[in-house]
Amino acid sequence: MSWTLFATAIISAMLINNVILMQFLGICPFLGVSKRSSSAIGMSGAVLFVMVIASAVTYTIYDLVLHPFDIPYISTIAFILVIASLVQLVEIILKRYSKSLYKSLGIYLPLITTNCAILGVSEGNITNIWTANMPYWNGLGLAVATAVGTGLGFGLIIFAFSSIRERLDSSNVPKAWKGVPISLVVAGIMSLAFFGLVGVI
Amino acid sequence: MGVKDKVIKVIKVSNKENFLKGFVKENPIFVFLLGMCPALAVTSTFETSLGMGLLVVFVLTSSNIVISLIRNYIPNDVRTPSYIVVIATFVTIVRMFTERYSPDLYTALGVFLPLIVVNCLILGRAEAYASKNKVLDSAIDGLGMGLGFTFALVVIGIMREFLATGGIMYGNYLPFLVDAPIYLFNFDWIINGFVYLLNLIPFISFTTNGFTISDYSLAMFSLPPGAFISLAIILAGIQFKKVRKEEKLAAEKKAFIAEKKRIALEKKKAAALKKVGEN
Amino acid sequence: MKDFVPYIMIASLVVVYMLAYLLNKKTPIPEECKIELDEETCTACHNFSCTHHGDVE
Repeated sequence: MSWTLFATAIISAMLINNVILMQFLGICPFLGVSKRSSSAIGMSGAVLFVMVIASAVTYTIYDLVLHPFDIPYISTIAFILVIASLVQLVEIILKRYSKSLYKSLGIYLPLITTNCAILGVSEGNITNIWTANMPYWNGLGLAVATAVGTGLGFGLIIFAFSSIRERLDSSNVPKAWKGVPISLVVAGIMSLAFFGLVGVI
Repeated sequence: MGVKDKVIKVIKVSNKENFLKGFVKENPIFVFLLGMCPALAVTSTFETSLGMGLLVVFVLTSSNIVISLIRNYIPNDVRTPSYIVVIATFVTIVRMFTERYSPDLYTALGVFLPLIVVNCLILGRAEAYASKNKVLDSAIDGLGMGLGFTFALVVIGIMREFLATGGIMYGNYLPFLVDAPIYLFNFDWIINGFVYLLNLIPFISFTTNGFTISDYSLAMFSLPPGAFISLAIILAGIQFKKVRKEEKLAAEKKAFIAEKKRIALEKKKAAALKKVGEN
Repeated sequence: MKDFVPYIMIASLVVVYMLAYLLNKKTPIPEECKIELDEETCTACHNFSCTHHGDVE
C-alpha cells in the first residue's frame, strides 16, 4: 500500500465525492449552522474530530467482531450506539481536560449524534472499502483517510457557504426566495461547479 | 401549579385532523424542513421516493407505537438513548425486508436506508409526540406524518423524473403489481395524441418526424445539482404563496385603518360645520 | 453459544451508551463555558431545532 492511495482517498472524498454537494449528507447543519464563519469553523472541527474517531472504531468493530461472528446485519444498530456513546465520551473528556476546546466545540457536540454525515461515512466505509480479504490495517488506513477527506470537504463547503451567506444577507433577494430557497440555489450552483471535477481521479 | 397547568393546556384534536395535519399544515419537508438529506438524495426518480417514503412510514408508525407503549417505564434520564435503540431496531427490520423483497431498491437507496435511524423526523416525533400521548393517537400521528413525508418526496420525485426524462416510470425498483417496467406517464403521449387529432382534419397530414421528448429533457435534474434546484423551486413557490397571503392581510389591515381614520375625520368635519352653523 | 453473540453485543453496547450518557450528564459543565441553550426547543430534535428555531447566534 503506497501513500498515493491514501492521498487519492483523501482528495476524492474531499473534492470529488463531496459530502454535502454530491452525497447530500449533513444538509441540516449546512442550512442551519452556517450563518457565521466562526460557528461554521467550530461545527466542522467537531464533525472532523468525531468522524475520524467514529469511522476508525466502526471499521474495527465491523472487521474484528461483526464479520467473524457472522452478524453483519446488526451493523446499523451497533454503529449508531457506538457513535452516540463516542460523542458522549468525547464530551466528558473535553469537559474534564480541555476547557478551551470545549468552549469552542461544546455546543456542536450534541448536534452531532443525529448528524447523518457521521453514520453515513461509517456505513459508506463498509460498503465501499471493506472486503473480506483486505488486511485490517490497510482497510483501517483507507477508512480513516476517507473520514479525514470527508471532514475536510464538509468544513470547506460549510465555510465557503457561510461567507456567501454573509453576502446574501445584505443583497436584495426577492421575498419569495429569501432564506432557504436561495441557499438551496447557491448550493445547486456550487454543486454544478463541483460536478466538473468528476472523473479527475 | 396553576400557572403551569394553564401553559400545558392540551388542545384536543380529532383523529382526522391529527392524521391530516402532516400533509399540508405541518408537512415535515415543505414546512418544517425536516429530513432534508433523503429529500434531496433519493428523489431522483418517482419510484425511489415512493419506496423511501413507505419505509419511513413503517418505521415512524411502529416506533411511535412502541415508544408510546413504553413511555411510562423509561426513566427520564435515558429517554433519548432508548428511543434511538427502538428506532434502530425497526430500521434493521426494514433493511432486511427491503434486501429480500426489493434488492434493486436496496441498492438504489444505498446508505440512506440505514440513515433512516438519524432522520430528524422520526426522533423528533418520538420526543415531541409519542412520549406524551396515548398509543392510538401516536399511531395516527406517525401514519399521518409519514404519509405527509412520502407525499413531499413523491412531489419532488415526480418533478425531477419528469424534467430529467420526460416521463414517469414504474416497475424498475418496486417489482410489485407489474411484470415489466411500465410508463405511468409520458409526454410523448400528449404529442402523439395532438398529432393524431391534427390528422383527423381533412387535407392535413402531419408526422412527428421521430421527435421524442427524451431528446430535449434536462438530464441535470436527475443529478445532484438538479436536486438542490428543484427543491429550491418548490420551496420558493410555497414561500411565494405565504408572502402574498401576508401582503394581502397587511393591505386589508391598512385599508381598515385608513377607513376608520376617514370616518373619524368626517365626524370631526361635521361637528366643526355644525359649530359654525350654530354660530 | 454463537447464537447469543448478537444479543450480548447489542446489550453491552446499550449498557456502554447508557453509562456514557449518565456520566456525561453528571460531569459538570465548566463554569466559564456555560452556554444558554433553550432546553425546550433543543430536546425535540438535536439536529434542527437548535439551529433553525432556537437560533444559536
